[in-house]
Amino acid sequence: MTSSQCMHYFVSISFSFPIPFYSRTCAPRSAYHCPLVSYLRKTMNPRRDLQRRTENGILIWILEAKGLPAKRKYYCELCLDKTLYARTSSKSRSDNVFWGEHFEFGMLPKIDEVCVSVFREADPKKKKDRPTLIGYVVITMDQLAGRNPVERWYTVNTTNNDTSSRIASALGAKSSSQDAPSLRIKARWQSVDILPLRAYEDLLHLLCYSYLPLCEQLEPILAVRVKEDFATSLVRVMYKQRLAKEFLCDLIMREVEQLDNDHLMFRGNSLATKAMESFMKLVADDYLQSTLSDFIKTVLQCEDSCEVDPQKLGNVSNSVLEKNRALLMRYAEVAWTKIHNNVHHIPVDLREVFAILRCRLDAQNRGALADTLISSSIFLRFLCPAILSPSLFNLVSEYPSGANARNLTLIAKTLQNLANFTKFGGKEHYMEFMNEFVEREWHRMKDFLLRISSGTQTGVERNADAVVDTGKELSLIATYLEEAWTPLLQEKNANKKALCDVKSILHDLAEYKRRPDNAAFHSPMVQQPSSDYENSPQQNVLPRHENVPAYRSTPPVGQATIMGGRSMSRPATHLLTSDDYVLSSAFQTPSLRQAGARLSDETGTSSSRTSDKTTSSAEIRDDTDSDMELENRGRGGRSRKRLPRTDASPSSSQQASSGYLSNNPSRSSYSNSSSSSPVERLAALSIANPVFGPGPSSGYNIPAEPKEVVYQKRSSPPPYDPEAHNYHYQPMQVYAVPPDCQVSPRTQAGATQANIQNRLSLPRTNPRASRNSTLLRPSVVNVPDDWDRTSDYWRDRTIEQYRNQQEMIESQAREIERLKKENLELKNQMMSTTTKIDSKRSDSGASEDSYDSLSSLDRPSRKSIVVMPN
Amino acid sequence: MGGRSNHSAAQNQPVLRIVVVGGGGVGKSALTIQFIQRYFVQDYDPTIEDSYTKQCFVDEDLCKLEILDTAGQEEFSTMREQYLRTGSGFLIIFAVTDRNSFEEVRKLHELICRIKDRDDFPIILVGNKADLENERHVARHEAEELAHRLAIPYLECSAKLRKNVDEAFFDIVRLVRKYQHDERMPIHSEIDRKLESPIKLKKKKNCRIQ
Repeated sequence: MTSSQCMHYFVSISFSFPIPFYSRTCAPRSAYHCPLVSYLRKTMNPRRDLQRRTENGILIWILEAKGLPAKRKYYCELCLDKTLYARTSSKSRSDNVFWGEHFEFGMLPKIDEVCVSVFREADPKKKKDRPTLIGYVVITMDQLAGRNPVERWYTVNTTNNDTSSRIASALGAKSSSQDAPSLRIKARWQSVDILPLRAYEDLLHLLCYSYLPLCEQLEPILAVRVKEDFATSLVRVMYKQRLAKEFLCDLIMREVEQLDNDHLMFRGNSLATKAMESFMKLVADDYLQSTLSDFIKTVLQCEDSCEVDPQKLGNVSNSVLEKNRALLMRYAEVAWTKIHNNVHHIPVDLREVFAILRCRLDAQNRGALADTLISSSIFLRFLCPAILSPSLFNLVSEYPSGANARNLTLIAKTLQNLANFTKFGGKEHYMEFMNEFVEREWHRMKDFLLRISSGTQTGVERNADAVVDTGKELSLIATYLEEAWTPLLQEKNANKKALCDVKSILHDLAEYKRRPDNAAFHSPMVQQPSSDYENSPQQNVLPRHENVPAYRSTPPVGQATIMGGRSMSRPATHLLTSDDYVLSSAFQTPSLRQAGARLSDETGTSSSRTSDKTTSSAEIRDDTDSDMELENRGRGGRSRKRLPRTDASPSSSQQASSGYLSNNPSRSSYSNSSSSSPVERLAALSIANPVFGPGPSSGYNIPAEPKEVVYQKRSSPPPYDPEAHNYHYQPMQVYAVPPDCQVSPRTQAGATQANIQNRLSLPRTNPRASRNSTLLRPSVVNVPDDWDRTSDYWRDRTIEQYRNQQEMIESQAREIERLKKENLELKNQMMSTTTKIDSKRSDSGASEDSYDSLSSLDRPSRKSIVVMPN
Repeated sequence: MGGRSNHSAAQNQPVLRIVVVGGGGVGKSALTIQFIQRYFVQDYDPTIEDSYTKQCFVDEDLCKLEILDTAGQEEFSTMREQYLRTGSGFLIIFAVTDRNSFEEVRKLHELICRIKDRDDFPIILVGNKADLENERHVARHEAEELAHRLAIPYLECSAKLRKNVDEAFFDIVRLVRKYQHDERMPIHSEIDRKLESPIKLKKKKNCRIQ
């Protein structure tokens, strides 16, 4: 990644989540694949993989429009729930208005609809002229929820105001355009329900050990589209498990062995070719950018055509043809030189795959095939398609049209012929003049293919480890398997050791999913309601409110008492009040400890009300914990704290009011929006929308990219790992600490002992709470020894992160110690003063006063949080 | 090839764009070259995009064909977008020896219909490599069944033996003609529209004056 790209990601993270940007800036459209973004997300929520979550994403192609008058240029704006996310380039009408642009957004909150508005560009001659809204298409998400993208023509709703009626009349006047304006849009809304990572343990094990038989079974039955999706997910999981090399080589070699015609190798669309393609896109994106980005931009900027087909040129002089030929020759030479010179940038991962393939083919005495195979991979599947459709590979944002597209086609053809080691002729005679170039470069092509597939070469180290969301990919794989794994297939494989478990694994996963609150995976500390701040699904918020038992802080009288609390009136629905039950709940650790231990004991089976309840209390604690974490991380903590709240606001209309459309509350006033420039709107977005407040970048520096720890494959229970145990214990201490200790230690410290005692021991809402509970007693939650089994996750953590957390824990521990001391002092002070002062007066008066002062200190910030969404 | 004698007549004929689509390595190029140049190419080199022109008589009417031979790899799908929009008739090719390529047929058909925004369009399903009878993986009745379901004709041919090659191309020309005849009105209006646009009009004028 270049530094400028890095900057871009960085800026978009710090100012905006979700990331609205404009295609005109050539911004990569899938910034959320960026390792940095993923890394930040994970850092923001290191426990992401331990909880059930939902990842929402949309992929949308704005393809073309028909029925628009041939007048000036048109562009589209893409809004998700009334927030502007993207804009296409402006295209004029030739046959239709064709954009062919795609946008991909991930990590979205739940959205209800997509709105694509078509605008006609302002007349450049008239200074005051503004873009005109032609109309819009609204697509609700349920229309797009299928597994495959939905592509169809949507009739454009023209608005009823003056402008549109003029348009309508203009349309009517043109007798030729009988069609109502319509847009062809292809889109897919993906809402992936992801279980905690360890739920997929068996599936992962199956994939790691039996990928070959599995692929063999699936190859003939998967549809082409599914094949691509499946191969993509599989290769990403394998990459994360450091098995990509083995997986790809096994898969490709299997295909090579099965093919009886060497010519056909790697030509079709099979799992092997799709996996290879996905792998290249995953690991070699930087290489592609550094190799071809400049070149493609140069070609696209150039107005000259390099058409060399006399039939397409029509009657032109020979000099024009010669000129075009020279240009094409130059382009081809530049492209090839760039590719050849950039050979050392090819990622090591890819080189290793090629090297292994060459070795294996040599071992089978089919070494001659190696060049064909490698060239088919890198040229036919990667470089040539990228030249041909650079917008698909994020090299540029605009779909090349007309002469540009033809130029790119001719360049790609030349390169492909070079990579095929064939001369022109036979098929297209007009290309024969390029044979000179092709023949001249053959030896360099040989050299190139050899160099990228020889193990001795050192290449670029894995610099930016592409980050894969394993949970998401595994969830997708499970879905594909569920569709494909018919009873018939299961029957067929019942006797095969490798695959006999598929059905039961899928069944287990389905079972887990059916359990609404996933009790099986709850443990005292892993539960957290939402994936992370920018993606807290509302369905998680609601049940949390419902589940909040009135008094989970009951003293350790037994579970029955806790349950009894349920019937009582609810003091508050969420944490944002300064209601004391929140506080005291965290203090009453013994009950939690019990429940926690219990829960971990009965993994998988507990679905009783008890566990239900523990869950919700754990949730509460977790939530406060995340606040602590933020506070600890950096000075920007306060503002970041808002994020989960704003995101969780259930109504989309609220969201809309905070975006740039805040002055366009209804769709009928859309034309207003066309008046402000994109820059203004972007600015408005970042200012008006609380989500776009000072981001994570404001507070702390991003630590270096983590080195991943190799995932340990295993089939039996893991060996005892003392370090892991220690590691798990430590956070426990922290989580059991009353939240307010961390959130506002000063407030606590400033209050008198009496207040605290009153506040804690006399909760207004919980008569059952123990009155003589010791103040601020941090306690260690007892965790069963088999705890580590539940979190393979930690193994994925890096040492740095480990250290980070360790530091956090230590600082929190210090804080606790300090507060403990303070408490003790206050207690002593209190003891000494009570004898002197009239106990009754001081007791009631002081408590009243200081309680208010406490809450007034505490409240404003929180209040603002609650208010923010409006 | 008989078109050369009647050059002026050919100019009045609209150019029919025939697009040859299908999975990778099914023999699209072999079929096209066999039709255009009457020989069988032995070497299988992946195509990116080749175009050919040919004039021929179909049912005693001269027609000018522009045949676009395309890439089978999914990776080139945006290109496909472009040529699918401009094609007037399609040959969807699969290899009877390659089950995967057969599976792709339905998707391609759907794609064409969607882009054309029509339920039916001049399309012919062609099963290539029919000479490799002992390597066959797609039974004839299966292909016929699929073609029936998609409401398009099915032809089995062999580029190697030049079996049914001309038939496939001639049939698609007939289909396109019939289709265009049926849709005469829209096509007229399309021509009108083209005439209306000032640039086209100018060109035509120049042409006439010459």
